[in-house]
Amino acid sequence: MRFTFATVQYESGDWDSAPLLAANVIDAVARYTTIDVAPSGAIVPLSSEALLRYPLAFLTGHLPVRFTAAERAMLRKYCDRGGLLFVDDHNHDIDGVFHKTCTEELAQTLGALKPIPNTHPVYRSFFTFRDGPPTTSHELNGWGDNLVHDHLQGIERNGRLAVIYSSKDYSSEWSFHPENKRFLSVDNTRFGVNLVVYALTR
Amino acid sequence: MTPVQVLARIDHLREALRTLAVLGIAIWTLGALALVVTLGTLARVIAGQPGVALIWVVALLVAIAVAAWRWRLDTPKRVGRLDAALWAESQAPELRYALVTLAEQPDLNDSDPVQRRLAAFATATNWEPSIADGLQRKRTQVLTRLGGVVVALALVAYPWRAGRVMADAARATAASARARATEVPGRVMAEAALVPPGYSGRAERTLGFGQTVSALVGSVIRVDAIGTPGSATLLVQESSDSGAGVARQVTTLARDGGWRGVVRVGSAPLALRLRDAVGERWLLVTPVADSAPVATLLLPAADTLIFDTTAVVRVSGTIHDDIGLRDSRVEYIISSGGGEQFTFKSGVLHARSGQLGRDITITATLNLGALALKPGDLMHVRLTAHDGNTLSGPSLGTSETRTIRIPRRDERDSVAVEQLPPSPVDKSVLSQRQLLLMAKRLVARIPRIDRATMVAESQRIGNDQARLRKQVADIVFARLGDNPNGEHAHFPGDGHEHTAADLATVSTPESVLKAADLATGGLGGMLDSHGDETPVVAVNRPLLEAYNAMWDATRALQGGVPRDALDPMRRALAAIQRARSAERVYLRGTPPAAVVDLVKIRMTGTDSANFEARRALNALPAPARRLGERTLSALALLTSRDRTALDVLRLVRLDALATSPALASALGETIDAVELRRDATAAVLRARRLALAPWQRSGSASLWLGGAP
Repeated sequence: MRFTFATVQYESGDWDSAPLLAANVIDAVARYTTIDVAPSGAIVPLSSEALLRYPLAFLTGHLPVRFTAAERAMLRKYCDRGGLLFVDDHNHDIDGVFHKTCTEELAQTLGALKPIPNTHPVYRSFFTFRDGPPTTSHELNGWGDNLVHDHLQGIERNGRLAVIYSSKDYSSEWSFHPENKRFLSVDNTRFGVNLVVYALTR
Repeated sequence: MTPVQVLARIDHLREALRTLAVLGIAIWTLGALALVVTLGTLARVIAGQPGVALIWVVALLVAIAVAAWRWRLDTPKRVGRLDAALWAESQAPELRYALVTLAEQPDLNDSDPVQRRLAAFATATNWEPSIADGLQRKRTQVLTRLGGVVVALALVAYPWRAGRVMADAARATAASARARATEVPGRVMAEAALVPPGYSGRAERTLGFGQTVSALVGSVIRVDAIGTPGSATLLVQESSDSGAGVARQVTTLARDGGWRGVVRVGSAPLALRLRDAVGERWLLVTPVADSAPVATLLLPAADTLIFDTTAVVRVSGTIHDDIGLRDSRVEYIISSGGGEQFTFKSGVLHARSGQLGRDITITATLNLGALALKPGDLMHVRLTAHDGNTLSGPSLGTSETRTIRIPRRDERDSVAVEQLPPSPVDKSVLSQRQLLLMAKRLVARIPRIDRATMVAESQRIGNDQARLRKQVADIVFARLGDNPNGEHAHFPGDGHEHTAADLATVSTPESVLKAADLATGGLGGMLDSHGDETPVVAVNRPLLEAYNAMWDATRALQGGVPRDALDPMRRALAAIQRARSAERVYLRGTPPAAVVDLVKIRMTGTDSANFEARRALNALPAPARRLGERTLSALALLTSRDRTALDVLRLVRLDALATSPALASALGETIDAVELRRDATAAVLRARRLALAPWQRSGSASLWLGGAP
């Protein structure tokens, strides 16, 4: 079964604000693992049954997030059936409207977000991140909320991690053409590999 | 006593009798009221019907009817002087109708001898003590009855309390009756009651063992039993997805002659098991969750664009809750900005709170002018509501969110341009800014260097400028004509190895622009226009300008006049900056297709990641091949402008009509265009494509690889 990186398309907001992130994560997965990965990502409507074909789904945006009833129902179904939704706040702003509205929608749909401990297996599923989620240059530059977030947030469904929520703005950090990775001393998309491996092996 | 004094006493007696008559009517009225209320309450306790309000309405109506009836029978005004005298005669017979006779006298006169004798007789009989005693007895009797009625009414005056007391009594009676009916030696008499959560406003009700009941989450099941706590065991067993859980014992508290156990209903179904010496009785409880309010936004009916920033938008919807709503409101969020810079403001319209009931309708208006919306703003509107759940809530219900967008002027007539990954750039090419700096430096050094050096350096810069121009041309042509090799300029000293044939086909600015015109479908005129230009041209025009300016700069530099190259180089730089800062608009739903070259990344491919094995073309079927060859030959004849070419084309078209109507149509357009001296390019191209259409790639073996023709 070939792994395909899925970007979630939802009715509200700018779901397509990080167009190159998918290619970058795919590049990292291909570069470091032998996972049979599709060369291009998929765009999947959140309200579509097709979402159930993807073990990992990525959701991002800057604008207010308001799920429709169909999107809520499908998201609940997706998480209950073992899917992992990775949500990243492209604003990187804890007071921002994406954070407020998205966390509200997630809480209403799936339950409250709780901090994921930095000893969680997702930080060791492939590469080892001893200090938890890797920081982003956007955090270190003080953009957004001027905070370096120590933890990612998560929602568990039936004892499984169903949602990983990030305020670290990986959407900006990873949205560059993979060709330019050669200019980086350390590939900053390695955590994307952990997410993929975790979603496939948990 | 004189006759007048006697009659005054009779009148006094009449007033007392009238008062007692009024009290008698009140006794009848209150008695009727108490009777109806009592009967109604009893019926309510036994059958659960009718309601309290109905009981009281009926009771009051009956009381009014009884009062009217009694008033009609015992009108106090009817108690006249003669009636009072007769009542007095009945109490003191020794009067021997002296009072009656005196009361019947039409004219009362102390000087009348008959009346004076009657008065003297009555006085002599000493009748007043007997009358006073009789009146006192009657008063006592009436007041006693009145008191009894008032007490009875007071007992039923509080229908809820009385109803509850009586309900409890009735329940106790029923329970004891049931217990007696099922009384088995050793069996513990017990009764269960369901107490819903307070916020629901629902009444407590009695349950029987053996039932399956539904209860709101948070309700309490109360079990009251008679006997010592050790006489029976109350167990509760919750169900779960993996099956029924382990039964656990409920802690019980001793109370008057018995004990009580309390179990709270959670989210899982549960079984209450009462185990005693005889056996086990079950009560199954299915939890019913208090659902969140359901909000439905009716207007705006869909996401929409509104051009008028002063418009007033109507918002309406409905909200329903299974128990009761506590508050409702219309929320909006306005986001402004784009890219990475967004600002937001939010607000609330039409907020309501309190006991709103189970169903409400929301109607509000959004005044876009008051909200100071600007073009490019995005507004999200939705309804929200909370229910009155104080245990696990309040639960929030939200409607669908509608998005209202105020479009910018430049978005009203725009075509999406997909955002693409940056093209791999040849880093050996110097930037325009760098070239300009080098040229300026050279110009500044001209007074200090000899001409040969200046010309050599100028030509070197010119060659770099030519390479950069080719890069720009690749981008322009890739976009305009979908031909990555659209411009390949060759000139002596450009660093390429040339053949004579290459140099014979040197491009000129004019030829390149002409090619650009052709590639864009002959839009050359529009390239210079400022209005009504297509978006594709608009996006590429700065690069075309840069390209033209680079031509001028290249010529000047290679001619050894770097000073003349400065202006065109500046123009080229400015044009590149404009192209760089051009706003890129892309439609929602058309994301870029970024494809990762896995073979290259995993280094499992060949040297060139773009290598693709060549495949031979299939051989044409003989008739199609002949028709195609004839078409191509006939089209080739057109270049000679010979009239015979048209005849040949007509013959080919005739043959094509049967086998390839599309080709025939294209040939017909070609013939018409040539005859009418119009541009036949498009028709000729279409005919050529159709003539060559049967050549297709195929995975099967081709003619050249040994396949059959």
